Amino acid sequence: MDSDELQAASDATLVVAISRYRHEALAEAYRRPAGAVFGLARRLLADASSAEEIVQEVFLRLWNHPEKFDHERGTLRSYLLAQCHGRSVDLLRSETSRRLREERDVRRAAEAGYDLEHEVLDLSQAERVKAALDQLPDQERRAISLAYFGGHTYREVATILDQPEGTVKSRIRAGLRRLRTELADVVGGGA
Amino acid sequence: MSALTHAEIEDLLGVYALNALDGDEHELVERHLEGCPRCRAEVAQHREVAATLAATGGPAPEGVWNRIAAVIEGDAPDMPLALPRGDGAVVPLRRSPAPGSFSRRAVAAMAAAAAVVVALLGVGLVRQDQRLDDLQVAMSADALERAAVAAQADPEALVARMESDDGDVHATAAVLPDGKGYLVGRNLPVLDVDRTYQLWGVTPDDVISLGVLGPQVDVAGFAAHGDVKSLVITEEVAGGVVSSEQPPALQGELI
Repeated sequence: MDSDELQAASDATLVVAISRYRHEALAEAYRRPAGAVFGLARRLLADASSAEEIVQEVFLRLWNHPEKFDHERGTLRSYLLAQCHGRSVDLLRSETSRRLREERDVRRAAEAGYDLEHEVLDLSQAERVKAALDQLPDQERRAISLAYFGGHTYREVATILDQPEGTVKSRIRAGLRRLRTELADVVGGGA
Repeated sequence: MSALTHAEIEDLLGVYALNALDGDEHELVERHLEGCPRCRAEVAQHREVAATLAATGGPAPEGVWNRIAAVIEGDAPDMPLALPRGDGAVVPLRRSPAPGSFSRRAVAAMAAAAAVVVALLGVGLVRQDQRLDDLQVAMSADALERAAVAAQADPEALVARMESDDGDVHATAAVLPDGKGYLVGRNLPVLDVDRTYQLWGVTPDDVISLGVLGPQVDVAGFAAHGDVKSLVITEEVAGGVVSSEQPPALQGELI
């Protein structure tokens, strides 16, 4: 499989090649979403150095455990981003990083504006995503933002927004469903 | 925490997909997902949406890939399998079945193959090939494990789900179009040290020894060149034999 074939390879083909220790397959898997993975980790941790470590960890995990990826349960991109998000959140919630989180929140409090629209930086998708976000009720948008980009549990989100926990759960689910409908032509193929 | 109803679990799927659940609830949802394809599909959809929100136009810092590349540099760069002389190809008959599937037709074919194998082994139409030992030296156990996983998932591979007559013992072998084969047989009982398992390939005209597996089979590599239609494992004296007179311990058709 040459580089052109790798660039055109499906997620499943790429991961099979990674299973066979094909360095260039991992490089291709990295090339596609590494920027998004790094951006998400940096957004969550507010620390570029920690974000780099998360990116390295996510791709080395793919290298060491390619069998964990199930192409029938979503795209490789969403799998890697979910891994990145989970690992970042673990780090954020750990005892040792409590201070990091407090410092991050102080930095954020000093920033003007903190909403989901400003998190979406990909120019090719920004307008579509922004339009979809505009369609969301404000409470749904804020709940998703705090959970996904803030790394907060839904109970913490409920406290921050001063809303019942059950309401926050429902709003996050409803908001994600609404976004999927609005972004049907942008969202990757899920299961 | 007590068990939740399906509706209560569904209400958690959005926050689960965003990693916004506490530990106990997270574990409850994880356990539910193992047995609920519908909820798994919803979580996958939520994660695709989240992945879209995470889009960023900036590349990751260059140094990150360099560090990753440095770490993986020492890993096996490619499968060090030397293919046998000759065309070394196993002709794909059809795509491998979905994992877990095992057709009745295959079972019937295995039974038929068993009679053929016993006859062929008995008349000594075999030739010894100790290639497996060399392969196992060349490949680390970890590399074999990964290669076996990849081969079984490869849609172009021929897969043999091997069983004992009573169905109690299982092994799975996958043969790629280039002839590289991988056997996973953790279910096989450990033999005495003076005994060994031996793997055989059955062609329309011949029975070929594909390797001596030792008294304990975990994951093994082999090369199945030629028109191998099914695989058989026998128990032999340590070191293996040129011609077996033993009944098949396990067998399976490559489909």
